[in-house]
Amino acid sequence: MPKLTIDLTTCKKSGQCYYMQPALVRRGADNLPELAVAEVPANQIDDAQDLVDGCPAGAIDLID
Amino acid sequence: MTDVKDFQPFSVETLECPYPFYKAMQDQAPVFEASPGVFFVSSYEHINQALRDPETFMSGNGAAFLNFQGEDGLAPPTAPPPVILEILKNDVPQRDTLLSGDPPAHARFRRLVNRSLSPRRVAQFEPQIRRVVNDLIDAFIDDGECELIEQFSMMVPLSVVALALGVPQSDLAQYKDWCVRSVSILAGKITPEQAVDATTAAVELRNYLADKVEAARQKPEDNVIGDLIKAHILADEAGDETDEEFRPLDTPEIVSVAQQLLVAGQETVNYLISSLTLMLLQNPDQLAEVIDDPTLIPDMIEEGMRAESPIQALGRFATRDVEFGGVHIPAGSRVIMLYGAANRDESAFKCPADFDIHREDLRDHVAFGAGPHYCVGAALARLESKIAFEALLGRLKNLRLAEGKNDFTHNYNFIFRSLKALHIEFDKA
Repeated sequence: MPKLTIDLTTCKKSGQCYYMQPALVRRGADNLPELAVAEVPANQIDDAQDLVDGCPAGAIDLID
Repeated sequence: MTDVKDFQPFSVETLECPYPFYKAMQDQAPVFEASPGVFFVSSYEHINQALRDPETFMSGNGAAFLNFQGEDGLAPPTAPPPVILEILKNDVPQRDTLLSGDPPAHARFRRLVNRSLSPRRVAQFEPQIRRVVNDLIDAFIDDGECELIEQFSMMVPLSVVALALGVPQSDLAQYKDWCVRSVSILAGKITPEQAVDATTAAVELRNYLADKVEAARQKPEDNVIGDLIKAHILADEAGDETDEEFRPLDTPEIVSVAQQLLVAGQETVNYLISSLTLMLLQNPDQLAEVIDDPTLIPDMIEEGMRAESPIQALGRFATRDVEFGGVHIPAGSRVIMLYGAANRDESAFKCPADFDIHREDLRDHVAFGAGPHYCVGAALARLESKIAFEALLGRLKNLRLAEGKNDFTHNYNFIFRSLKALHIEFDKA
């Protein structure tokens, strides 16, 4: 199952991820994101790809 | 001491240097009622909270821009006069997409547009941006001097956005004319004649863009317009392809997005490059450091955006009665977010007036906003600015201010903070 990764050192705290896909990422302390799922369900791959494209800092990746 | 009650947002004093007033607000009233139903938010904490709460602080109904009227600039806007309504009859239908959108519709637009402006996508434009930047420098490098705004900082984003929209070189002069005239309407207080001219230019530009989009539908090119035409959200098992959520963008929606790229993307990068160049020249040690190690340029850009935020303020409307920062804000009030103030809030940033590219909390600035409306073009803005400074600092040797030519005055605009001109000198190539 594919997984999301977030590089918190390059994250700019825009909050796009938890706004766009709250089922996959939630807002954590200090406005930093936290993964809400360990693996991305098959029917949410396109949503996960949105997170990768929608992160203005390029801090999110989708890996197999 | 500056008394917050003396705050006049459109006075020459405020527009030339708003920082003493921001500081007074933060000390005396971080959420400040400037006139009945008009609130200014200056504290970092409250701005971060409000921007991430679009249910309470909405962007629709023209909330973003401060088209205020009256002597103090705080009177509510009145209906446009007949002459303006007549011009608007020829307009492309207006759509609330990003800047003036609210959830849930906003999220759909944002998903569709993010893909055409993602860091990975815009990185593909790097060679073209580098060519634009170097061509501009080639035109003045043998002179040993230039006026940075007209000859460089304005033309970099204008040319890049034109590329992104598929505006050919032959249309660039016309395009520039429309952009300059239509943006003047956001200046706050303008004369009726300026309003007519700005509206005329905006309607012509929007029709031009609509024609471009229609033409591109036959053969989408490798640019942002092409991406927007092709953008779609995949329906999963639960969704029906005929649902609104899965509909591709129509032409008025793409025109709305393109126009925002142009206003939000051209003006801001122009102001960032010019303000940041001045700050570097005022901090020669840091300038030398960056020339010596260009990998510091991205941090320098973040610090430039924090210290002199190109967008100083944008508005919201309160959707409900809310207690905020110790103040009661009635539903329907205008709530103006002072990004420029938040980025100099000493409770968030140490010695906020100092320009320091080594700050540990560089990424905490809100110059791009925060939450749902975080600048959609941030990756493009960062890339353009990085390439511009790599070329400027790499090619212009012994960069310095032109003696006696600069007065360092600003354009009088409450939303955009920008120098009127910046004359620089350097050794001839």
